[in-house]
Amino acid sequence: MNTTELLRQLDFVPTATLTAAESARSDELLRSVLADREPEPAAASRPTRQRVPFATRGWVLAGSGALAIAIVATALVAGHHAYAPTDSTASAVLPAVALASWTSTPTSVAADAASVQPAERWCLDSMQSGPGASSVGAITNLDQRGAVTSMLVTRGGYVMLCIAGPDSTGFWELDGQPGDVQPTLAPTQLTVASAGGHGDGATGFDYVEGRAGADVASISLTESGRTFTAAVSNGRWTAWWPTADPTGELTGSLTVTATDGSRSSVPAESLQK
Amino acid sequence: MAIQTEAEFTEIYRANFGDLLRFVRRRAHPLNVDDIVGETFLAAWRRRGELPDDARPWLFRTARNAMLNSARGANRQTALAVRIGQADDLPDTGMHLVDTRLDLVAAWRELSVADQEVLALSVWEDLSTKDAAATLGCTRAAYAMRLTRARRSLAELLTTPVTGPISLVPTA
Repeated sequence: MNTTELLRQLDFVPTATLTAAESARSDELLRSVLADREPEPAAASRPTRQRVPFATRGWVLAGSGALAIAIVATALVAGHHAYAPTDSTASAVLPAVALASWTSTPTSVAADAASVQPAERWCLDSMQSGPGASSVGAITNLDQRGAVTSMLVTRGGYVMLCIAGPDSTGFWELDGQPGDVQPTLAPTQLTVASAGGHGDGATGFDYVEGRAGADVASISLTESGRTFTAAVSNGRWTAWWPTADPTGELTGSLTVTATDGSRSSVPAESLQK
Repeated sequence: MAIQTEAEFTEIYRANFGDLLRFVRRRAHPLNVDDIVGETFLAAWRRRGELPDDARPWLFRTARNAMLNSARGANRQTALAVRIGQADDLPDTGMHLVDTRLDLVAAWRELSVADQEVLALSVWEDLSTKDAAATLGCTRAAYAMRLTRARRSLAELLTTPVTGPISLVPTA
């Protein structure tokens, strides 16, 4: 039994069926709600919340005053954030034409190659005031798939994944920071440090980044109906692929080829426990 | 989805009441549960003209905001702690499993509130990445990243020896 299954058993409220008392209270609340005749607030304005007295028994709804829906600012996990020109799944981080040029096998390029200079400039400019800005950065794990270049930027102990497309499009995110626990990996072991997705339909893509054991020569992934090769370098691996419905979740499988030619496959889900 | 009639709202209400009740019970003080659930459905009724086709993430997000807003000033939170059940409430299936559950309960309580929140949405609310992100008001990419890190944090806590006493009382 894995951790997720055990955790499921430890649900504080495991029972799915309402008790008779809960059903009765549900009916009572519904009657109270439907009896409300407050006008609907205009979409452009939101009423101010007034404290509603706690119910001591049954459902008591405040008859006066408007009910507030105060939108809480998004909570960001401290030290981690994603940057994109428009950070929303509803807008294109990478244009459709760039995603259409994707290749299942990355082209490995050197950091000083002319073809990657625009992407490197975009990435470094975008994270100019980001983590580790006062340190000199190193660019590794460069790979090109069509018109899109991905890379890892390491500086001051911070590790940033950056994926850059044409015409100043792309995003970067912080995937590692000083003090992160980095357990020693078995020779062909893989870990996932980050996974996510952006866009929708023709502009949708998923990506993944993680660490690889010393004897990992190559990694092949099968995700979203595609089989493709990850970029492996310096003990880290990266991959990204187009998908119409990005979820950031790996549900397929990975095949690791070791330096001695041996192969092993693992379910992608096992890396995300 | 513009709800036109009481019958349409009632259908949405009945379909989501149980899930919302459990969502709030996992997070709010027992005395506040009724209020939060009531406020959420009242808000849904008043804004019925703009409810999305799948109302569940909207309801969860509204309830979450209500719970967060109930704390004022210095106690205001940006994430909600989530209760975990008691390890000894489960059928006895052998000492090894009991020990593992105890470890998991202890590790859960060591998690950051933000990590508890993202894990709970996946494991106990059983939300998709899209719906969980909508509940938290973040992008799917951000939620997926947080979930990956939360899983890793829990795994690290499970491999770290517990040095303090283990309480079997659910988090208040």
